[in-house]
Amino acid sequence: MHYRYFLMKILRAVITMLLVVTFVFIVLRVTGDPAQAILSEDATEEEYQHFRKEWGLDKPLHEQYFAYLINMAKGDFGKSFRDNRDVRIIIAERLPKTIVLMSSALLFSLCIGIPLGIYSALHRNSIGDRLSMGLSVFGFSIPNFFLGILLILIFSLWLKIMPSAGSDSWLHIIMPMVTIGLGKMGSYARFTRSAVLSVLNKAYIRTAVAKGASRMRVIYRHAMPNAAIPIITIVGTSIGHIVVGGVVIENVFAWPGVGRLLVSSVATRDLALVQGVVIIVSISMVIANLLVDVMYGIVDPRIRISKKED
Amino acid sequence: MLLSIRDLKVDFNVDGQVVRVLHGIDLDIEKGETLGLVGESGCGKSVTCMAAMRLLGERAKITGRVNFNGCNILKLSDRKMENIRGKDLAMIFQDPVVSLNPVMKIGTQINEVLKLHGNYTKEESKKIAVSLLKKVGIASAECRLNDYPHQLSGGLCQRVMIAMALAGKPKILIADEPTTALDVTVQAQILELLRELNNDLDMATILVTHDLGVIAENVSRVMVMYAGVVVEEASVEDLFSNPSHPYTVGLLESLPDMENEGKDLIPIEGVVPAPDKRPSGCCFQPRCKRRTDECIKAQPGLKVVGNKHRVACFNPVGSIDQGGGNGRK
Amino acid sequence: MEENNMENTVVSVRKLVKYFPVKAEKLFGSRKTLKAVDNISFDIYRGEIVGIVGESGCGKSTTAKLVLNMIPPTAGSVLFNNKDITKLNPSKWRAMRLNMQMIFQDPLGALDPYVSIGKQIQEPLDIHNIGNLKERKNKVLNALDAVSMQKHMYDRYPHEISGGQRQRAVLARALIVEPELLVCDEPISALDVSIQAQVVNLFKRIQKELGITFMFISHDLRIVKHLCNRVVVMYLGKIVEEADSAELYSNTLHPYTKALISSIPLPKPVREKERIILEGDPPSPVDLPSGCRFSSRCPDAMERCFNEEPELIETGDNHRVACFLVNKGNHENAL
Repeated sequence: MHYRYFLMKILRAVITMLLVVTFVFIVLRVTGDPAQAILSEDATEEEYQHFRKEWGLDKPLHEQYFAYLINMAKGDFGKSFRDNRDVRIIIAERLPKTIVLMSSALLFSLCIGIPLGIYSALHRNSIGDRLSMGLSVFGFSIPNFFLGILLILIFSLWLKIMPSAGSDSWLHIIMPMVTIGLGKMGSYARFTRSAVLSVLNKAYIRTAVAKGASRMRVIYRHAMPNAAIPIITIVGTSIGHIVVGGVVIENVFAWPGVGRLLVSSVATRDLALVQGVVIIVSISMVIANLLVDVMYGIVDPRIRISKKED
Repeated sequence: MLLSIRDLKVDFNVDGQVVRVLHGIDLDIEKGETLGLVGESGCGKSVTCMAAMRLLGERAKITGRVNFNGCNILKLSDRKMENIRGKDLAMIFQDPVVSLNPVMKIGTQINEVLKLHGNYTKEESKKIAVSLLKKVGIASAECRLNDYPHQLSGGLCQRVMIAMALAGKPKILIADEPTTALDVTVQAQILELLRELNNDLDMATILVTHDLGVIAENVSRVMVMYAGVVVEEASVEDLFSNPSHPYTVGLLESLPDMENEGKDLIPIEGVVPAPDKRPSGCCFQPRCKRRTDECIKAQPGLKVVGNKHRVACFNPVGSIDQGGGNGRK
Repeated sequence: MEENNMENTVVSVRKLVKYFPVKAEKLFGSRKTLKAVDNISFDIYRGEIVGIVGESGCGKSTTAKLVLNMIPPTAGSVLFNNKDITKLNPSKWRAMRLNMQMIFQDPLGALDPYVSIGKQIQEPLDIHNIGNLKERKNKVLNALDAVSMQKHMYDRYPHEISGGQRQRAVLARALIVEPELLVCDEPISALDVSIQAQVVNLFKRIQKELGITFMFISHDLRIVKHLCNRVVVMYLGKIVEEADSAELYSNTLHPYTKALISSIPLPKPVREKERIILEGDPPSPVDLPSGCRFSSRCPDAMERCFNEEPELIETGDNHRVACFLVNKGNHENAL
């Protein structure tokens, strides 16, 4: 019965992707004429018709849709309206930078937030607990674009120890990573604290103590695996926030990733590129959520294995 | 004496206020004996057991002595206490389904006790775990080792809890309301199992329950508790044939009689006082039909009224009929 | 009560069935059903207390919800005063449901923590616009008196009073609309023994003084024997035995009822009769055993029990039982 849960989740992810792709098609094609949007206002009727033909915009909508679906399945996002380069190549140039930034931001928030939350839970109402919870509140209440600008002002313009833009060295990643990750770190810390505290009050923790397990063993062997379940849920839902926040922050720090590409391609009304970026970003979020679901199933046997009927 | 508790007091710190929930409990249990602790919710029966196991956590201040094998375990280091828990003193709880770790296999949870308190190879542990599950009456024990708690019924979970408790070969098994959450036919199974185990193994049992019916057939000696004190202590036969404390009598009268029909239940009026709102004098005095001025002034201590029968009451039931006084000689 | 007198019957349950769909085990597996209540019929007569007993999963709470029309039945009917309430239109049902009140196990959950006890007892009168404000308050005070609560409880809040008092308050709220039927689902299970006795006596007094009919759902056979005039024993969605209280306990026929009664822990150190201890747990109501539902745990099961399902038949003296040990013949004398 183990595979059933995972199979269902994969099936659901595929359906979600199909919905995303369709949604992007509808939003970008149906809500306005791309040709009109992309061509300058003084374009002739001839130029206009030529453009429509070249991009297949003159065909009936359903034909466009199926052609589009087939292209998507092949991984073909078409060519940039502006410079005729393959969208795949343009995105592929930018994607690694974004993945590096997002995953380091996620790692930063997890690696600091969760230990901080565990510490706070185990030393409830101590000075350390109050300090780390204060830091957490600061982290998630400050808007990240503001934090980014603040960091640039302090560390780049005033102290002059950090580069303010670009991605040339590992130093460049620190400020955008902290900017994106600090808020999440705060919410992970607070959430971990309450998850651990609520698990420590459970009857099975008392059982573990009554068995003669040491405090360390009770915490790491019994409390943590159970506390992980709600933490994974919250991390899963926050991946989307990190991605959305990342688009803004890439622009603040001139980080040459997909987020900047998206903003610039919207500015130049490059339809194929916008479409490609949106789909890539959405699909990576679907995959991230699928991974979370899989982890969820691994950690919690109640989800993986249903009750026996015997 | 295997376990002897003297003047056990427990104070809880509730929002900065200190509330005393146990007011000096004395309790003795000998090797292989079965002792019942009975009382309504809030009487302190569970707290007594949890205090003896030092399971109450940091919010509770425990004073007095809990002598196990001649040493006061309240004074032991945490490390030494861990060696006693699960090995010498084992405990099972009211709600078996939530008392097992939901993300750990049954087998792993039993093996943990073997790992903590013994030195076995993997194969040995597995063998012992299977034999323990068989001992508590679980069929196809080998397959069950790989099950998670949510796959088992409440009755099976309680059997697993018992198997886990037996894994350390405890001298004393403390069963805190072990059947309250179970159906009545399953309750009968579990009580039968506990009786058998007590006969087969050299193990004393403390059975905590609110149900006088459960006490009657399953223990040899009973302590009745009320509002953090022991009000009566007797052999089980004595307690049911010759109850002395008005509270014990009241508890028995509020149970429906299965033989005599139509007899009205005689309830105890009023409620158990909250720990921070205890009355003056005897804690049962506001609900007691035999109250006198004396009862309002002072808390009666336990006095001997018969063979190993002690009661904390100025006017125990039976004494008036035999000419009054503060108890029989 | 030999012949079912229409006048005297308050509730008449006929061939009542309630199935719940269960999630399929396999990805494309067939959908399973949980047979919570499977074709049961019984009557509740005016002024009596009927006990419904059984273990968890036997369908007793589902039966209560069906009788109260809180959930729609899969099949069958519930007649209340000879009207099928499962088929009433909403406005007629609204007028009728005041006559059926309910109380549940957890009185704290049934009370609003932010509203005083008096106001909550009065609420049904406010909703249904019964009497003027002064009359309503008087009724509340009378209801408090009827459940032996003092007048000053009117201004208390649920967290300020004890569990027994809360259950009295819930009872007062149910009684204030002067219902004909009161359905109680495990109303005293959460209370302490000494408090249980107080509430049980209160039920008895209310039955006598107000002539209210009770459907009393419980797993505690001691209380049921003491309180109820008639007892219906359920096992896995079926009625296995039904009789007047005294008859059921003195002349127990079904092996399950025997085991249930035998399992009651009596406050007596020495047991006269050998205890019947059933093996295992009740099977899941999703995967029912073939034949008699009790066959998998029955100490007296015969070959026939594994193949055929016994019907509930009358054995005389208002005593009905579904067991081949009693009903040896064929189905011709089935009800």
